[in-house]
Amino acid sequence: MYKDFIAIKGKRICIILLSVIALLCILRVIFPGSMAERMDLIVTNDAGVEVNTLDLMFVTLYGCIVITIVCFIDLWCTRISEADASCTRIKNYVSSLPVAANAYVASKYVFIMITAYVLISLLSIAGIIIAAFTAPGLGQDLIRMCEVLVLPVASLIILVAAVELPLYILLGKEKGNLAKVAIVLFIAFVVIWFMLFADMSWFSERNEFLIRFFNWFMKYQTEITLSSYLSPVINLIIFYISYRITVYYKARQEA
Amino acid sequence: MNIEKKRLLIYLGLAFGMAWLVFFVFILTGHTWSGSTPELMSLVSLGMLAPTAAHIITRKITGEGFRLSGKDSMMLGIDLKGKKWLFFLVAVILPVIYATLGDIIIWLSCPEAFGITDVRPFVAITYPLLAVVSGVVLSFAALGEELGWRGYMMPKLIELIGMPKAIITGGIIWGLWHAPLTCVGHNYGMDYPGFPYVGIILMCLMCMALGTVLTYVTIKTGSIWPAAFMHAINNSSPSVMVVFMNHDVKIPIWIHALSNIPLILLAVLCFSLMMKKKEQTR
Repeated sequence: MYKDFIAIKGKRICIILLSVIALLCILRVIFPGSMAERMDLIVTNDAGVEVNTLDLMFVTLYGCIVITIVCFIDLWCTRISEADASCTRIKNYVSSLPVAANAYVASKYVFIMITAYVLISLLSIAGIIIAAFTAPGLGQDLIRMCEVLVLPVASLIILVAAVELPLYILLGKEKGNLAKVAIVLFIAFVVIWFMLFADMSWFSERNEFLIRFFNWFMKYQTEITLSSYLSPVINLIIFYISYRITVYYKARQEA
Repeated sequence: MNIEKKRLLIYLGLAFGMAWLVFFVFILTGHTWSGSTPELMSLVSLGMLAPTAAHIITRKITGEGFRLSGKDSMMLGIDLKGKKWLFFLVAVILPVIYATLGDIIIWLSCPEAFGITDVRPFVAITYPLLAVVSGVVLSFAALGEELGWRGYMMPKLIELIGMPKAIITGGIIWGLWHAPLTCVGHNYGMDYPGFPYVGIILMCLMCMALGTVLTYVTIKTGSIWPAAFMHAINNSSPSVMVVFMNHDVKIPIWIHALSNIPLILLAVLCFSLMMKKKEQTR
């Protein structure tokens, strides 16, 4: 696992990630939501609702960090397997060790699990600090929604890894990349088909869509909160199935 | 002074200093627990990370190193061999059991406290599972405490004063650490006879009981993770009866104290198991 930590340039990433989150939290403490009035950052929207743009800015930044981190996992899965595949010495060394296939596969999966736990914890701490300095109103409702949704979104990390790890471990770097490109292309085609033939009027009326989404969230808040907290369980089950499948095929490959 | 004693004092000074700084800022800005927004409560809860910070700083100062597992380590390693995984499972299930039994005691002593009937079945069914999952996934705050109390303080206390005294002293220290928050209504509110001293004493007793169970699972697994999960689930009130609880009804503090009986019984069991093991090793 230490090797995997080095492979993803763990130390550098940890410093960057911690710095970004610390900077965001420090800025939030320096510029709390209550300061928006003095800075003329409160605007009234078409519906006549006062919107604190300072709070909105921080909520948007927080959302961006969450999404960026999920994308990072995709890169890390690639790096973990690249490091093994590109270095023949490591590959030979690992294969000569008296460890079963499942120990090698498990180390990769446990590494991603630990990463996911650390990232979810970091994002939650950042969410708590941002929320505590947000003024009551739309901004606070939005950050509460973000705090609820951060768990299913961040646990997507586990789901992405559940798909990518078997590809890289079983097929190797090149074939794994090809398989990943195929999956991404398939998703892209589905999205294009959806954009061409499905009802996309909501996209041209984004603000209205967001307000409707927000109202829907407020209406079913309890159910959505419960479901979002349970989403990591579903992702973990998929992750475990992915692990078993990888171990099964890895053992067959080695045999 | 004994070197271990010095190390422990450095740790305690840092753990109390950093956490109490956060708690006192909260108190001196005129806040009370019941009068605060959930956001502010969550922010103050980040004070739970202070014992971990204290642990790390103490190890840096004293040059004890940062070994993840083994003797004199931070006990962050996970070993599931030799049926140790059972303790992880037990640590996740036990809080649900003793919290539900505790709420049954409250219900028997004060039935009007459970007056909510319009609970949706989906909510009632999934609530305990939700508490367990959120406890485990978002256990960073509890891990923050456990890495300090069980990962550093308890091994040092056991080494210095032996098992029975260490459990009692550890519980009192842990309870006193919560004292500033108990004084602004955390756990028992502010409207009870003998406020805040009775609350602080009850908190120390509760910490002693919970601390015994947490120390037991930590010793058995050699890892602070099951204790962190157990602590987190304990904090997320995993009893299904919570959804039927009428929060407008004021529950007398003596009923709160009685609701700790299942936990105390469990602590007695864990304590006797630890003492039995100690006798066997002699």
